[in-house]
Amino acid sequence: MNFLYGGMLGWTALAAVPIVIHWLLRDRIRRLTFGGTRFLGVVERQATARKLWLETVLMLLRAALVALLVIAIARPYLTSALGMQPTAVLLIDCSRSMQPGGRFDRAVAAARDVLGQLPGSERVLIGAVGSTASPDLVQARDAADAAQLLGRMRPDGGVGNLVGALNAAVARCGSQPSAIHLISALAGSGFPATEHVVPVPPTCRLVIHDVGGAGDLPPATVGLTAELAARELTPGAGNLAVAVRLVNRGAARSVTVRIADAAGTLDEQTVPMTQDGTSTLTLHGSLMTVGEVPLMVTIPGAPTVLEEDGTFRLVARVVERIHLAVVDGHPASDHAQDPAYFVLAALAAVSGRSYAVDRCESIPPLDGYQGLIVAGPRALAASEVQRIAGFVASGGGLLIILDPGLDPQQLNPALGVLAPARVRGWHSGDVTLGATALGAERFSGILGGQDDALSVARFSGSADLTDAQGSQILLRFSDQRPALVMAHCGQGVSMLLATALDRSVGDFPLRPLFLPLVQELVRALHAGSDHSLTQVTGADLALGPGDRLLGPLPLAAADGASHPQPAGGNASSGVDAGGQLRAATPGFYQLTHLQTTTLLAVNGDPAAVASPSLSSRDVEQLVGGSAVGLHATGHGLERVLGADEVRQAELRLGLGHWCLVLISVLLVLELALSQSVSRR
Amino acid sequence: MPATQRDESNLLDAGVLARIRGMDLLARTVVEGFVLGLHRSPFRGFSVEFAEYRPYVPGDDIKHIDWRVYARTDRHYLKLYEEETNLSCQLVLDASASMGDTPAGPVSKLGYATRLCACLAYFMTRQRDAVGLTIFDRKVRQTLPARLRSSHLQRILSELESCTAGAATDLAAPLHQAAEVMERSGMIMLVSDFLADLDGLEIALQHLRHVGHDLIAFQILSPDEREFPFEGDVEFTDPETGLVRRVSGRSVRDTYRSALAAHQERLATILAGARVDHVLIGTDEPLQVALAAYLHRRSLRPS
Repeated sequence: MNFLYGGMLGWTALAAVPIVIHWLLRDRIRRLTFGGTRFLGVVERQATARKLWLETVLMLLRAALVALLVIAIARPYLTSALGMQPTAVLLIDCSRSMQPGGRFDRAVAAARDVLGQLPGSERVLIGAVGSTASPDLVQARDAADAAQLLGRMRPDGGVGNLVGALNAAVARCGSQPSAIHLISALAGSGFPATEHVVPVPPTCRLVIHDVGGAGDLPPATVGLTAELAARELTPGAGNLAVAVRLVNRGAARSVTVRIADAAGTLDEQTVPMTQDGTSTLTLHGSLMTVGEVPLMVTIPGAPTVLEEDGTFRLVARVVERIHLAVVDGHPASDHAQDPAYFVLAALAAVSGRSYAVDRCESIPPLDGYQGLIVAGPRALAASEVQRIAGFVASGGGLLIILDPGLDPQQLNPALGVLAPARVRGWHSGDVTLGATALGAERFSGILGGQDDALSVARFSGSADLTDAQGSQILLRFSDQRPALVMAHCGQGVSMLLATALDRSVGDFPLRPLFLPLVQELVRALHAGSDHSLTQVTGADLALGPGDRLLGPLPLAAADGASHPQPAGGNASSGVDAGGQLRAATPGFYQLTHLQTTTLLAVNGDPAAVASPSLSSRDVEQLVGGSAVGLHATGHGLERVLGADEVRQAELRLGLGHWCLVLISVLLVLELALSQSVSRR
Repeated sequence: MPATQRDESNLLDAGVLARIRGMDLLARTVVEGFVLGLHRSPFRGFSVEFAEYRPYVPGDDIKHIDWRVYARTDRHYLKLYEEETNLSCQLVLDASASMGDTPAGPVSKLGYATRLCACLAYFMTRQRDAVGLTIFDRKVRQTLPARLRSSHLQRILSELESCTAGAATDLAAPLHQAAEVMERSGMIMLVSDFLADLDGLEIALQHLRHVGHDLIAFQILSPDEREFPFEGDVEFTDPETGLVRRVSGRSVRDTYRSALAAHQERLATILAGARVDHVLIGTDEPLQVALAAYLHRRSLRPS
């Protein structure tokens, strides 16, 4: 028998209260000289003894009632039933997050401790938590076999599927009494971030042994991720922008972040760090050579959580020209009224170096284009929308620039899911532009650290956008309405600008900031999703027949001393593939697909950086809202049943009903006895 | 009609009486208050000292008609005299150990009984009856023959004031002895709790009746003895036999009351058989109850 709320059992000491009350209020014998003593029969001596006995029984009954009430509140339930052998399941996290700092060794040691505390009659199942959805649970024949199973375990470098492992263990245990010991490093395991609910039955006890945490990290550990501002670049000075996100996992006060390619360091910046906080910065550089350029972001002198070698890898693709199509929704003879005129003019200013721009009056065939700008759209045919959707899904960028002539009744159905927001109508009134936090990061190159730099952009009218949930709002009007909304669609992006870029609503096209803003908008157009160029270790790659994955390649920056290549490869690298493969080791890989060879940057799991210094309390808070609750124990976290599971436990194996029946019987007995005693 | 119902304002309760130290003062207080409450003295009789006239009514003895008045007025009047008797009364007081216990209440049964005797003695003396006193427990401890003198009354009161509880009760033997002591027929007032063996009591009473005595039995019981209000565990000790009973008050209450009722019924039967008035008085009741009972019995006695 076990208790859902075992801590309540301490209150059974309250059973002493009836005993104390009985002792305090017991009848004290009075001694009297009484002339009528002769009328008291001798049989009354026995009645007195009987009364004393009844009072003692009543006292014990009341003490038992109190104790039973406490036990009922503690929710007892059966943990063993006839013919059921208790089972202990040991799930040892073998994912990549267990590699640093000797975590895996500690996990194995913790597993051995658990094994040492188990009774010999208990069945032991051992499983390695990896990236597979349902790990194999091997039953150990005896203690020696269990030790051998533990000794053969190695971290596989993949992403640990803890929820899958837990579900497998629960499914294997069924309704049998069991205990699941999950041994992992909560920091970076990704477990707390999961939204899945593990339906652990009430007969099962879940104990999470945290062998990681901030304690095993070096004091200056900093998490690091980076993202290219644009997936494809054209050769030119300052064409490279990399957004870097830093998570302080230790006590670093400031760090220096460096980006380098094979030729040497491109940029280096020092950024202050807050304790357990996050910092962002943008590194810039110039890539002049057309082709795929491996880039490495490093923090010299500071170990990172993400990689053992302290490097985040990127692949930038430099192309000669970026082809854009600008569709003029309603051409006008007056340039000031033409919605595409000033955009074309701005692109023409730089088209000689980077952009090849085609002006169209309808949606052209989109093959060969990286971006599509639709200025002042009125209505789009279904076939055109279908072509645009395919274009965006395959990695193209779409920018829709609204103007006062828009008709929401026609525009919204035509754009459908392409638009990141819906248009409600045109709103007249003077507004200015301002960048959101996300926009400030995106447009940091033109804002120069001043968030109000865009306030020079004044407009006499703007479109009302709605239903922008799920999209990223980069710019807002001064009245806080969305001005520029972006959403990822497939591998491309779709953006919606809620005002016109012509002279009909203001003089912004004449302002110096107009040209760089258009350039940034276009850059964002072909930033797209760079998943095709970067991967996470352990993530599955969908490869077709004949595809080849080679690596990790012996690439290093010119100052390679600061970021050495990881040793060795893995079983999946360099093998002809026709299915799912994984790159287990960080590095640059060469992916050959349909006679095309691309460079692939493989980095560690970003979730490891996104979850700074997890503690037991963090886990509680993260999963506290779900049906699974955890609380800290002496050696880890132990599961507490949720309300629904309590009901299930009571219905299936709980002894609460029997407690209530017993309490009722005792109450009836108590009433009868107290009546009998009071009559005496 | 009992005095308690006649005029409550003239009655002194036992608590007040308990604070009066002297027996003389106590008896005077009670009796004077009692007499003041009487609107008409019932003790008009036919004796030697003239009291008043009253009109003749058929049935009156014609020998009491005052013919001189008839000659003057041509009406028949009876001549009434102040009663002047030499009725001899003997107070027989039980001073056994059971009378001395004080489980509750302002006075013990013995204290109440001595006060009662004092009042009766005073009252009887005031009524010109000779009064004597016998104190007994297992045997007669003190006997004062009936006399009609104020100094004798003072001696009786003195004896009562110094009376203490003695040994166990034997009701029969003292009564036999009292019957022998009283030379002429009179009235005997037995004051006791009657919590004793009743065997032999009937014969003793018959002995007294045979001699020609009128008897009144005043039974003094405390409220505890009548009601048995005890709760919880109590260890009772019989003051006469030393018998110890440890009981739970509530559980034996019914048993006790039944046993007491049976005892009282047997006592009443014995007293009724001997034509003895039985007056049950609680120590929480006024003493005038006993005086009223005496008067009632006295009025029934033939002149």
